[in-house]
Amino acid sequence: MTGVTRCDALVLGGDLEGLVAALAIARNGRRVVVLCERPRPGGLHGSEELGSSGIETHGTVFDEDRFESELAGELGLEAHGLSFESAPDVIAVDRAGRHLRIERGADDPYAALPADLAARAREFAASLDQHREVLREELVAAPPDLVPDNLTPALRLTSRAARWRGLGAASMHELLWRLPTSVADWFGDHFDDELLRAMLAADALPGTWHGPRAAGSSAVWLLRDAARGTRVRRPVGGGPALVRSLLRALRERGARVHCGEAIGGLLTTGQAKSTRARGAWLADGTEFRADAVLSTLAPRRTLEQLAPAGALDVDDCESLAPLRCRGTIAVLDLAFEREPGLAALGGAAFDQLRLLNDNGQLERAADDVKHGRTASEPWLEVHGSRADDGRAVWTTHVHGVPHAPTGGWTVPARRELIDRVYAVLADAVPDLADHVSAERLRTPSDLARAHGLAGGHLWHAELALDQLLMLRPTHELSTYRAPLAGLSLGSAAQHPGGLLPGRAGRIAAEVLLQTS
Amino acid sequence: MSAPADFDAIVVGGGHNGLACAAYLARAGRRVIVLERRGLVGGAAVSEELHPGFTYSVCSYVVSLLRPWIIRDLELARHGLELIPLECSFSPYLDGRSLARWDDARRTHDEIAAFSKRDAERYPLYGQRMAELAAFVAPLIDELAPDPATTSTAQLADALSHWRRFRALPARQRTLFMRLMTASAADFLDEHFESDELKAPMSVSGIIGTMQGVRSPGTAYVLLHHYMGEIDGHYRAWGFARGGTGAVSEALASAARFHGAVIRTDCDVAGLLFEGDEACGVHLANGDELRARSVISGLDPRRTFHGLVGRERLPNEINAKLDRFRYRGSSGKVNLALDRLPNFTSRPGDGPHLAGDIAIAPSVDALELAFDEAKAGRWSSRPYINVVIPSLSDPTVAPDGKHVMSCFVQYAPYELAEGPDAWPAQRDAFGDNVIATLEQYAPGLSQTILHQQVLTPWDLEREFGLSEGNIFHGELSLEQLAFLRPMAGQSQHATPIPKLWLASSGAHPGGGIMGAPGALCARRMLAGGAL
Repeated sequence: MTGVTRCDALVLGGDLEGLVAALAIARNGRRVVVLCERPRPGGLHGSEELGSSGIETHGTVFDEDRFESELAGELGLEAHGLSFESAPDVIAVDRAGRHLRIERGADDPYAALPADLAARAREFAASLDQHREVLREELVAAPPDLVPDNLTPALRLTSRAARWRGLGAASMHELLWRLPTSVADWFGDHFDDELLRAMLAADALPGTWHGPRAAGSSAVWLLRDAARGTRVRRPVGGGPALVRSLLRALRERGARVHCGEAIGGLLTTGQAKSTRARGAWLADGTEFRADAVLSTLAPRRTLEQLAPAGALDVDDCESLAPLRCRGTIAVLDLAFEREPGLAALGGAAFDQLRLLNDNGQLERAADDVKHGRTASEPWLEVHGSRADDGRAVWTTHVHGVPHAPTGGWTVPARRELIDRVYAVLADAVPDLADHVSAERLRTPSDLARAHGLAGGHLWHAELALDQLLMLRPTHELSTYRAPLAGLSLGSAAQHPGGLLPGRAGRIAAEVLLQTS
Repeated sequence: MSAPADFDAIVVGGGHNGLACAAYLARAGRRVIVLERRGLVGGAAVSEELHPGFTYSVCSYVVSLLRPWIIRDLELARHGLELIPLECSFSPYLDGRSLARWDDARRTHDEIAAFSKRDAERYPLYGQRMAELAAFVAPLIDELAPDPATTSTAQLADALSHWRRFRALPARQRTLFMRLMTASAADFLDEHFESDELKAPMSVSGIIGTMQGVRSPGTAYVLLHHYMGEIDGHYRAWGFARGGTGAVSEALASAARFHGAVIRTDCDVAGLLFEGDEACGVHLANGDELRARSVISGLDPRRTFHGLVGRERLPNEINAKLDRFRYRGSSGKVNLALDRLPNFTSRPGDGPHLAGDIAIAPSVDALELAFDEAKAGRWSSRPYINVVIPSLSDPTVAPDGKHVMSCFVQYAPYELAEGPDAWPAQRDAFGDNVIATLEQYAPGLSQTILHQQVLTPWDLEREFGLSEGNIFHGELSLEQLAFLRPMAGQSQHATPIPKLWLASSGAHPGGGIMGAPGALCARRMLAGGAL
């Protein structure tokens, strides 16, 4: 279908950030169109069919336990079928079959741990309370400008500084010590149990390119912990339900979601420094013209491929250079007619399972990636979901997978990866392969192609000390404004992407509303 | 009834920081005594003639961060300090190529261009940007570290002035600074350069003395050290002290004595004397006691607080912070007396390329592999080695025609898989491996060795009092810098023990033969009326 559609705001990208951004703009009374390249909206949070098996997955990422109920409230999603439930337990099982359970949704998450570990864990958790609020405040808003030019940002910076100082010297010192520390050191100080250390460290690592010994891994951990909070809740029905409620809300507001066609480029007026984004065109020739554009697509694609040549000057291009987005996670979906039980759990079902052993393993997996090879012993996060009829899907995040291994993603390389995952799973479920009715591997390279994720990175930009807050994804882009007028940036590469799903889109929407 | 104080200050440990502190206090008219356990002052900044005619810079081997204002204030040149600039950084490669970077920009350009024309064009601009950042950072190093939680108006004013200077930087430099303080050395360099042969020897300055790799976050900022050097008012990356690194300590000692300080060597301090909670002196291993109005430690935090003071005198919370202050020595030293110069096959013969520093750093991947081995508790099978042959520029350290060759080696983790006590049994193998690695680049080296000294982290701990063999008195990682060094909540060189002060590299601004920790401690004590 060709032709020209006009709207007030055009959102490029139908993923969670895009849908949230669009809804926030639509609720402001603007006419919004969302351009979603995939056949279905929702991106990594949407369900999809496993090949042609007829089996639906429950999403590709599982960070919806950090989707804020406040954001749901801001967007009015409860009126569109969204409700929250207690988040599931996280269970860690090592190769010897020993397991530990943390009940995230409970008042005392550590009640199921062995008594001595539980005592330590409670003490540790209590020491986190003092900082959660201040960290959460940093997460839910745009990062402060460190050199403000105007009164408003200056007041904001001063109030943030006062807030941090308001923690009191001892508490502020402790937080400033924790942030740059490695989780290997921090958890190594508090816990003797290797499995518990690794189970906790596993919350620091997804989206980073390093292992638990990396400086700043504690910052990522603390931010994720603050994002999650205590007595954790998550949307009933997970990511797919969240996506459905967003789509219903968008429909109610008259916003359009256009799916299934590749975006060819931005429509612009002017040239060089006076270039202004005025919409976008699709591969089939359809044009969408808008007063303002918001992109949740990968930043380099947005700025270097979709923007016309010359729109960005040499300095702008150079400022993009440091942006790192090397994915380290492959996703393996396994479908079962009848879900096998884990011997370690006495056959009980699980929702979130971590198969790992100790921080040494996590560090070696990162080292393998560093050297361009798949981890010889990858560690896994398995998300299990099941239907009433006993069919189930396990979506496994395989950690320790380079986005561009030496030699490339050949068929043998893919097979090798799958075999290694099965080898790890076999410790927990010896006869696993017999139960599997369908299997799909997506390497970082596959994810890159399927979801437009540069480097196959699930959140568009690595989480690292030099790519957090006002450095995310680069300092210049941390303002949510592209170097091109009329274009806002709201992908998970923006703060707080990778930590609080949807919030980057929300903040970018606010920027768009204020600047157009 | 307490005995009268013999001195205003006793400095425990005659390392370069203790000496600098003593010199400043003596210059301000205070009665100071320095007590050094070894037979000579200097700590790890020491020259020793371990083989007749050959003077080794036993531990630290280059000087450049020694603060220029300290050199001026204490007139160290008058006291014998002469710094000879290193003219070159030479990197040989196994494929027969080599890269030398010179003071001469044109020459350096041509050398780099052989690997990458783009990098050759960018190199001077990178240097300029880094020099600007170094100028921005210098006052942070040369002043007491403000505590962000402070209520002191003086400290708040300090912090504000640093923020204003940050604000005054061009936007691009501000961004560069933020990245410098958070990124890895390799990533930071990747932004500017493409050639691995250039990045590898450049990146290593980010990991000297740490248990981190060039790809580890938080290692980029140390790249700045390379641009902070000043010799005779000119920027110089590195230099030698004539007479070896010990000449720095000797000059500081001479300046201290000149101003009236007393220095005693072969004097082993066993612990502090207390009057109630306050430090009031020290007692020596031989039973003698010395009293002073204050005690200053030039030892690292562990030796200071868990050695001199004792754990039982400190609250649990302080001990916990001290226990988590990391040392993790990662380097060793191989000092050689040579019959003649080594011959590097990639650039054969004697030449000025041998007179600077020589970096065995074949690639960023090789450096990471070396680090991986260290993480697993093994010394690197193909280590990073930084070699200097000071005798080429300073004939006083070796007989005519012969040479001393100082090799700094990483990684040599204190915490071996079998435990640190396994080091003595592995020392020889470790040393032999360093020679064997060098032989790959300079065949025949082993035949020219007249004398060899190998120092492992275990040896550094035992001989020089460096806990776990860490050359900086504690990791220079982000959570151990500035007001966090060695722990937050202590006000600028003060300690939990009244009248006890910390002047060593375990305090801000850390290690690197800066002299600043000692000088700032003295400044703080004098300004605060402690002395």
